[in-house]
Amino acid sequence: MKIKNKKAQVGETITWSVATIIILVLLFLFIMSVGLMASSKKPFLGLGRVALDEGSKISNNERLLAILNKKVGGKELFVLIEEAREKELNRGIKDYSVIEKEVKKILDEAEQKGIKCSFGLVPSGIGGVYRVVDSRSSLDVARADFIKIRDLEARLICD
Amino acid sequence: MLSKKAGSRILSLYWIIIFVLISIGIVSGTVLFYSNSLDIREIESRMLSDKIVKCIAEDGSLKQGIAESLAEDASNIEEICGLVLSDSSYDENQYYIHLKIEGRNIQKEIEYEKDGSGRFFALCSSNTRDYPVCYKEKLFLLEDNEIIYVEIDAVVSKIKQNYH
Repeated sequence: MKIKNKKAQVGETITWSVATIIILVLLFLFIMSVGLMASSKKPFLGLGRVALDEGSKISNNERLLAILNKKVGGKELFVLIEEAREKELNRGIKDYSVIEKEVKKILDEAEQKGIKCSFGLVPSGIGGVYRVVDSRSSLDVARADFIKIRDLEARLICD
Repeated sequence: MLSKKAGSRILSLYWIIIFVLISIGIVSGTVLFYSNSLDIREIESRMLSDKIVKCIAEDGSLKQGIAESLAEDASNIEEICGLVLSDSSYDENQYYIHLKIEGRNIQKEIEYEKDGSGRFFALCSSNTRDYPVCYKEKLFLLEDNEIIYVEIDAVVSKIKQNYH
């Protein structure tokens, strides 16, 4: 079988040579990027959440409970919050001063020990911050764990 | 172009070679990615710290007598807190716990490492992958209605498996 005209063959060869080079370059880039991704592998929880970003919920819960169970004048803070909220809803009197003062004292002392926290009382289902005792300038209560006291959510977030 | 048959046969061979090369590339990439080890010591040290918090705290308060039991004999920590601090792939201990409890009426410092050398804690300031991984947790609890401060250092070594 004689190929009398090689021009079409030459054309195809050039096309495929270029294609081969492109394929090899892409393969090389693929292996390089996989190698880089492999070296920066982190354990993840799915949906883009990295496991290492999650703070300790157990510790935060204990800190929040410590604040709410602290007795002031013979009553736990969570009882005082309940009473203050009831007074506010029934009689329209907003008085959280005792609670704020005590929580601020706890948080300020904790900050001296290197524990920076922010506390907030947020009405359930409404959003926004109702009362905040903040030992830092910035606040991010929305994602904090909470304990429900009547229709309020007591939230604490720490660094 | 009088005959394309020979051309097609040569091209088929080329396609097979390219196919094999691409397959090798994909398999190599996959094996490279999944064979790379994942360093989970940071999670492990956090979990160890969480276990200790669960062990010493209840409803925001320090459990009665726990600080005294641990201070008396630090090796009690495994039994009291339900910890298993051993790894069959190592001859030496790979964990270290340092617990500090401070308050107006209480001052306890508990250190636990099976072979007692404390070498892991000294390496905590080094922040490279070939050193132990340290996790520090600070929290406050209640004891007799007084706020006390707890500091936990949980260290995981396991350098051999994570050495790069």
